[in-house]
Amino acid sequence: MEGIQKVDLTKVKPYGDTLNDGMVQMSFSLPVPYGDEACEAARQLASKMGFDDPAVVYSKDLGVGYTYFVMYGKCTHTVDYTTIEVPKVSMEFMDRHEVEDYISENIKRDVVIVGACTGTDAHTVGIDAIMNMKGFDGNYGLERYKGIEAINMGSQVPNEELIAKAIEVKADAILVSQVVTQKDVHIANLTQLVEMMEAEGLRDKIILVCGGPRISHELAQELGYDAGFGSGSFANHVATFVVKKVAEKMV
Amino acid sequence: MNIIEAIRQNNYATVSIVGLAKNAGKTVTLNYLIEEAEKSGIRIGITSTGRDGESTDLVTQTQKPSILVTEGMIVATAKNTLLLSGARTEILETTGINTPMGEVIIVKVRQRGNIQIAGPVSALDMKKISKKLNHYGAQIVFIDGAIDRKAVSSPVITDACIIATGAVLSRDMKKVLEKTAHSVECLTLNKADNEPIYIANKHNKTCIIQNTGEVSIPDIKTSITGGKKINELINENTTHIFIKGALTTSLLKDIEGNKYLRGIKIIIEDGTKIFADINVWNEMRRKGLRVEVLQPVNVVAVTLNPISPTGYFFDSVEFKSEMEKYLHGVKIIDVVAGGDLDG
Repeated sequence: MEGIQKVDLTKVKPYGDTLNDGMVQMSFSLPVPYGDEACEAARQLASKMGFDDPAVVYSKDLGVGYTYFVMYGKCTHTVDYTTIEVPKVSMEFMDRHEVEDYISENIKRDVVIVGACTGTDAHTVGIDAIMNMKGFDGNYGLERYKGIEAINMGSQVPNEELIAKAIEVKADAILVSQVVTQKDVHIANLTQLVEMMEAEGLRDKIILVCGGPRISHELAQELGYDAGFGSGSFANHVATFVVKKVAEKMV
Repeated sequence: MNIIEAIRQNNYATVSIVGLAKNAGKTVTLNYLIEEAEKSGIRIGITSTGRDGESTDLVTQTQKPSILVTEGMIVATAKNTLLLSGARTEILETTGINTPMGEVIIVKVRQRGNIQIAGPVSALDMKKISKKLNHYGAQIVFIDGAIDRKAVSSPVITDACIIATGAVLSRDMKKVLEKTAHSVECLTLNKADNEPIYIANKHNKTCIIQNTGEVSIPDIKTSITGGKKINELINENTTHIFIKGALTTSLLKDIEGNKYLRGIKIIIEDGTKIFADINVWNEMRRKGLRVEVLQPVNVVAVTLNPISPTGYFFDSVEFKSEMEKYLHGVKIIDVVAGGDLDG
């Protein structure tokens, strides 16, 4: 990798055309009518955000007195990449066939997994990618796994119904997906499920996993889940965690 | 009398700190208690159902208070968070209980410093861990809650609880007062009479108790979705309904229209089992709904945080005096302004 300017990882800032130019492109809307005053308002706002040389490169009238902007600006801040620590699950993931073999050797019965998008969330893309037959990005979903009975309840499922279903089918694990949420409403949804399971005396019997672009293992800890899977997780990751946990509980 | 003395006087060995929302001041309360314990020379143990002591909040990205532990304290925390802690500790036990942040490890603090804590996520595991902390010499174990989770405050898990509430619940102080009063009301509901308690414990299932001594058990797998079947079994002879598990809004709505409901007492295990919407609950209470518990929660104190990290605050004196009008017989402490001056 010769000829590439060395990056100082203790002072990382955005890259636009050249290293450390701090160039950022952002977009937002303001509740003001389209025009020169609107652009100036956007420019002043970006300046208050701490951007140097803020410039409106595109603006569009959204009607009813709203304007949309695309802006450029130079970020003046840096982060120290070398001090960042993100806890990850230290687990070796098995592929689909290994999971299937693991089930037939160690569990010797079907593992039942119920999945849903709960509360107001109607975005099933996450849970579908993990559960549906066809899967996502070349990784088959849990429905395709031999030895796993995957039940996808779809979207906007109330926590009460999810729990009732899990009891009905004697689920080993519940997967909850929260994709798009406003004002952190997904947090209240996720904690309510945990609390109801505690109230029903099910928390220690059923493995609880949450997933979504804003979910991490640290957040799972805070929410009271056994694991949390963020972006870039596939069915085999979730399956590995669940089957190992099921086998652990059988001892 | 400070909180620690009140806890010691009642011989509570395990105390949970539950918040009514994120940033309601649970960790500030914990720090307040650590300080009180140090002054009183009482050895305490601490752990958390969530994660505490990290510098920025995961959800709101706001600054969080760090936790300063002192020599001799016993702490249960997950391996990954222990590695991020500044305090010097001696490992007493690796518990085999896993969390998303790694295995829970019990340590004794050797040199004071900041620590991050993350304990078991399930209430039953938490009970095991707090017993272990008592075993290693902690006279009182404090369990810090997470977000708005309150399961650890169940009397089955801990002896008593402290409720943390604050401005973060709403910009409207009246709403904060009402929500707090509702939570305290739920947790401190009256204990049911001995006979229905005996019957509920004997069957250990949702059941309808008649004045004839007859007990009917509805054919349901959970009360959550069993409201209609429960409703069918209620008749003019019914005196009590025991609901095992969660008391939800949908369950209440299913029995709301029952003409025999007035005069019937609903018994639940404890106040942590209530999941009813505050409006539905208040409406039904007004109509004469009576709810009692097998075991009330001992609420030691309610702590107030008049500051919301979302950028507004209440006048702390007014907040406290208003809260006193809503809560009777409960110790109220402003942990931010400090203020247990009234003794």
